[in-house]
Amino acid sequence: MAAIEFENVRKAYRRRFGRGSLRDALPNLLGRVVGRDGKDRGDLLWALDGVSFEVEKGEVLGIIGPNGAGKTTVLKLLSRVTRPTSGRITVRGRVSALIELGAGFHPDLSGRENIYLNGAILGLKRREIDEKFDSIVAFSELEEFIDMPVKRYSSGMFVRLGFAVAVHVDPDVLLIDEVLAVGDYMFRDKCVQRIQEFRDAGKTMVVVSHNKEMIQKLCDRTLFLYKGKVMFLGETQKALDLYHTGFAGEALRREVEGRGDGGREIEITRVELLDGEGKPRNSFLTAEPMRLRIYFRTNASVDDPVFYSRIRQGYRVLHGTTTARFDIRGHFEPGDEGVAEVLYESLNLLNGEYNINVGIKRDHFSPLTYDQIDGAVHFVVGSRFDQGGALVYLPHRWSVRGAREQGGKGAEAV
Amino acid sequence: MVAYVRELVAYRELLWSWVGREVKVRYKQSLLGAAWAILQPLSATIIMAVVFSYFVRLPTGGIPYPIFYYSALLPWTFTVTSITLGTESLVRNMHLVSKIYFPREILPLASVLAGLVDLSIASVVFVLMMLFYRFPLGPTFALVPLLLLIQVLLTSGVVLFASALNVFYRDIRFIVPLGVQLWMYLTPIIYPVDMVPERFRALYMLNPMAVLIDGYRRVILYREWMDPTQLLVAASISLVVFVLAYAYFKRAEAVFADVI
Repeated sequence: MAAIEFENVRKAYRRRFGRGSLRDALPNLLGRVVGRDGKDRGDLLWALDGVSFEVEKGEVLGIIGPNGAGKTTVLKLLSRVTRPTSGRITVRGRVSALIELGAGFHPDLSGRENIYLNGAILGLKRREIDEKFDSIVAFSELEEFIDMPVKRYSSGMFVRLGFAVAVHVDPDVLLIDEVLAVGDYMFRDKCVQRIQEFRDAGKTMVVVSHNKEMIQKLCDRTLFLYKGKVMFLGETQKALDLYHTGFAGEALRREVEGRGDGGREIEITRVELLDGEGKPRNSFLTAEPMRLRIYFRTNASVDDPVFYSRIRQGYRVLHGTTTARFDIRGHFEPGDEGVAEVLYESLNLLNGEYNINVGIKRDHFSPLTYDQIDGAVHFVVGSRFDQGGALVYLPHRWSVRGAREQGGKGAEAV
Repeated sequence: MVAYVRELVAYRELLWSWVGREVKVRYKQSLLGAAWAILQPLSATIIMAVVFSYFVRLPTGGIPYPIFYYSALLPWTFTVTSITLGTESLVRNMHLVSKIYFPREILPLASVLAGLVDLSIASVVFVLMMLFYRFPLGPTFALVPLLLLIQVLLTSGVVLFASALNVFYRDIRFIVPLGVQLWMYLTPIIYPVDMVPERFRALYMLNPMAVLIDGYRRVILYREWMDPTQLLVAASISLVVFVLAYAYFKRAEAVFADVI
């Protein structure tokens, strides 16, 4: 018997519902009283649209796809946080989710108190937490700080404690959502190791990740979702290839509202990252040069399209630029093909995983795009010195004046 | 309903942990800690005692006003605190509700149970007042646990309903204080029941809170038994409120994560 059965599941979210005021709700209620259906059907957003899959006991299933594909919705449905609009979901055994580490930590409580609280939230009995307490603390490496209120923890410590509690839950089915995008490298390795132990112990797992290596290492099979639909389900390598190479393919294009004619005047055909020498690469060191190339084709006569690129971590935009700032103009005829390239002369980002949104707009101020791909490319940055959770490296130099005696020498660190 | 309760029982450890958290958090940040549970009702009592013993005289049937007032304020404060904190409990913890599954009623119910802890702390003062005014306990005191049980049921019902509504309509947080104030004046807290005109009395006593508050006074201070019909009506209404609110809560629960 399969551990997880997902049968033709659909999940809709109402787009505007619950902005939460009676003013919005009253017309609806009145509408219902006088016999009109106040619900606006057009406002439904289908996060999942007819998704089916099964996971056998002891199997590890990966889920990949761009943002908004429905990956997190699948996990939320599996963990019963939300319920499907239609379809059937069966999960056999105790489910635990390695999501949102530290959700439920209270800043005023100590690490110790939070371990008990978080353990209870994840479904552990007090006795079980008593037994595992030492092991949890050891895993988090926070022995000295365990009786300190967690509001004084650094974000790294917070994550470590959260993860330490989560991995000590002993579930039959483990759900993992992008948890390893945080924390320092050494702790991350420890976590991956722990997840592999779960795998070796024959736990059923569902893993959502943007991290290709992790999916490759862990998953027996992989589900590739796009806009709430299954694009591919099967061998992990094949799913990854489809996802990464076919990212700019027709099926993966985000349709922008109000552009229903289907005719796309310009379309992005491929997006890639390269190093300073022009060799394709997806990992960089701090302060190395990086090139982003957007290949495109025009299907109509177009004047002065504006290309943009936004570097993000998760959903947070860290840097954005457009060709409009450089006053680059041009005329294209149907069938023309071209390449837009940005050269980031010095990639001043620190350790972490990043992704880039690219798109082509009508003009600098227009919200309308000819074409756009969110999270078109993903890359990681390694740094020779991790600035303790900081995001950017700003070239800088220190000097101290007023000392009686000057020792050492001025230096600029990179 | 049985299934809901069974699931809640399975998660009882989380409920206790959450109650513990509510209590700890409430007093950890404040300078005087748990003393607040005592100081709040005590200061209110002093103010009211001055007003109603010296400025306006109320017929309390020979009971000194401070203890007359405090005996009602104590249980009433429990209900008000529970409602005020409980209404916000889901919204305040939306990061949890939208990420991890557990029976959601744990959050509002924990607010109510944590309120019970406050109540027991503040009861110490009441005990001292009883000693000071030399009030002996009568056999009628045996009814207090029953009254408290009915009150917890009623309060939980209101909290479940208000917290679920607050997820959908944030206006609730403005309506609740108004409703609570109105409810207070419809309950014999600062005045005795006898002051309610006879012809409204039956209607007035349909408010379970009026029966309960009057009941506490009657069985503790006056050492009288209560009218069993009134008690039965109050208990039934409280039970109905609780069951309806719980049913509504569980139905609404399905979409909490989507709305929050």
